[in-house]
Amino acid sequence: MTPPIYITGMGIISALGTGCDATLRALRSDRSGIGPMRHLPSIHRHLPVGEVALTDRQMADALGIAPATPFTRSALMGLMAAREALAGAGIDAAAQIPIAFVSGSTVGGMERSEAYYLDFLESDRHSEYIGLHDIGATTTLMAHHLPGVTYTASVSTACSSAANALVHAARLIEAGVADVVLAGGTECLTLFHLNGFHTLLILDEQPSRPFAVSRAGLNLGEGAAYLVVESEASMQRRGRQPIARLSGCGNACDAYHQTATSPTGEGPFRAMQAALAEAGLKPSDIDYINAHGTGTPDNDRAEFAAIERLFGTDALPPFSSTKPFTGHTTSASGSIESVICLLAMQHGFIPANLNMDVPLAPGCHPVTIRREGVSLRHVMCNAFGFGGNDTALVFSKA
Amino acid sequence: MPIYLCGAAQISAQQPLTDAWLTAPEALPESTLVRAIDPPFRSLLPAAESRRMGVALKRMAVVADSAMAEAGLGETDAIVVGTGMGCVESTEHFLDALCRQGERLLGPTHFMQSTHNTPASLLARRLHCHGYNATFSHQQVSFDQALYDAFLLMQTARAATVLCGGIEEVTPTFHILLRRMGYVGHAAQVACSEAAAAFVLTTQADKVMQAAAPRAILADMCMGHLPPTGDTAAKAPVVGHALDAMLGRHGLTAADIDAVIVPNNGYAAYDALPGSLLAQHLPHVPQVAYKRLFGECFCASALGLYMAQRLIERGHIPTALVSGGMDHNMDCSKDHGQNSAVAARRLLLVNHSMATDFSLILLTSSSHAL
Repeated sequence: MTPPIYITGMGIISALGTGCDATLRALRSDRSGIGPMRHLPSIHRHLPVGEVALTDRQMADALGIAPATPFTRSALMGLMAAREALAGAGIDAAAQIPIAFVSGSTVGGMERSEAYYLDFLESDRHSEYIGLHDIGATTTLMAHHLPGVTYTASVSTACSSAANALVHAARLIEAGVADVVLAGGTECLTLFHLNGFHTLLILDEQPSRPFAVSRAGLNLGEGAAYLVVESEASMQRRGRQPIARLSGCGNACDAYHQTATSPTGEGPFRAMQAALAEAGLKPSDIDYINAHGTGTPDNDRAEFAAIERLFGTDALPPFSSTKPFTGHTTSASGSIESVICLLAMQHGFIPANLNMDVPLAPGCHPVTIRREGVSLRHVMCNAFGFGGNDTALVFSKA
Repeated sequence: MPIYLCGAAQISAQQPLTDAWLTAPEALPESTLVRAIDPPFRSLLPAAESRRMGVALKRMAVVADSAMAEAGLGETDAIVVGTGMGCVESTEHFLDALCRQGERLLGPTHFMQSTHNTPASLLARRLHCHGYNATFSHQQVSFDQALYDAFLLMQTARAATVLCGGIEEVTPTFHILLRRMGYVGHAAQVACSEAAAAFVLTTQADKVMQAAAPRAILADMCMGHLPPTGDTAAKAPVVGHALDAMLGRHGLTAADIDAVIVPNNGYAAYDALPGSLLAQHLPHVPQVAYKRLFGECFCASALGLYMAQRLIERGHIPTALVSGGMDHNMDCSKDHGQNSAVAARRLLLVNHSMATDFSLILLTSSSHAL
């Protein structure tokens, strides 16, 4: 039996707003953050997105970053969420606590690179942004604006990046090499991603409808979320109360196709199974699954098949996809939806799977009307990515 | 539970899939881009499969096959890959088209291969490995982070065997950007090059120890982040503290380390950190600067590990490889045996990324295990 791993802080920013309180209000009033593009300079104006309302300048001001400082949107959103998480855990610069910082991303500084790429190649204009392009640079930029970071790592497993950052965090604590890990992910909207997903014909021109027979793709979103993952000894030493335990992590590979999911959802099945095993739980112990549920025909069919196979057709736990609220925040989705799971657990509700019409299969009944007054002891959060990088996390009441 | 390195392969600026670099090294011109020497992929990969892969994926597939064959364990529990930029050619293709032609004429192929986890995902499909799969991307410690993740997986008994890869592709266009960043291209700096390496790590001692030659053991590893402010003199003690702690854990002192595999690349601003660290902590220990042979890139440290593993398997380091810092004369053919050489029983690998992140790796020989 490995010692328990606790969550002692969390922070979030997404189309639902800035911070846990705003996120909670939106979820409990069934108010989606999906809407028309405001910041992204794309010609595909008809595609709905889940944008963070704040501009880069507004976030920089809120963070006390001087206007002329080269920065990227992913790093700004990331810092907004990371600082909320640390504050919630009672950690500030004065605390002098060594922090391991593990961040997941895929686009890194791409939103600047796609704006300045030709300048990068042909002149010296905007060259200060070349070094901010890669994924590690986003992590480093954030680390330099956070207190006490003594270790960093950047995970990039496409849409499961943030979830795998949490898995790496759990290993750091389990191996005894870190006591406090700030882990999660950040991803801003980019033309690169929007057009990439568009060429794959998986963006819906309507609000996404996960697990519905009419589903026709996803809506892209952006945002960031970070969790403070902490060892029991450190939490007790600091006299903090846990939000929950990170009781199980499952990482598996579908090993089927670079962008498609196997019809049986082999990777998702194995990831969920491994997370349950690590948590020492039976399928019937899970009170809620926050599904990956992107709204693409492929993902939802495979994910539901995997859930049915693992939990049994007659014993499916309540599940919903919250992507109709936030959009698919890609690399950040694993930590954004982890925070949503923890809010649900703290406040005893199950967020609705919005926009449902007819279920994709008989027996596929996600929670379409928000449930209140429920007790969630164990919740599972799924995040699956391109490349078949599938991860499931289990959070348990402390 | 010792972690053995029991299979390895490389594609780099040196002759691919061999250890010809030991006896007949390719000379690399300074300050320019030297692309990797590719093996004949045609004879190594099925044609239908190969057609769909960019060059980075072909290299990753081939070094993984070769490392797995050398290890002879049949399968792996997990796959972890480090890459600073992923499949650069595919990313550039899509980005270039987006920037020059706009948003209307794009196709999906290059986007699909642009995510950094494409190499690790490819390996999972080729090896039918449904186990743990992850990719780390963090500049010059990308590979080190992947190796550290593998190390943690094995330490926590989550995996008995891990295939760990490092892949870095540098196109001429990307090279222009790396020069503008001031990362490569300085006078007297080694060439900018490419790296593909794969390693099989296992805790299954019974399957490993049948080999006649000594095996390299990943005895310990430590990684850390350095504060943004302060010069090298202020940062070196932080790394030094971690180094002392690591050696202390194993009851070792500087005198027990046969050589340090250093990341020095000839650019004074980069070499200052390891220089300062080693002057203070391991002043009389021989150094091996592998980037003279393999060049610089975000995953160059994978080739440093490759070299260290091979040196431990040989049991000694040819004198031509040993230097106090940067030695241009690396003709190993003058090495006539162990008498004139430095022993390779315990090697320390030092690496850092832009003096903000560092890694320390302790490799030992199975014939001199701690």
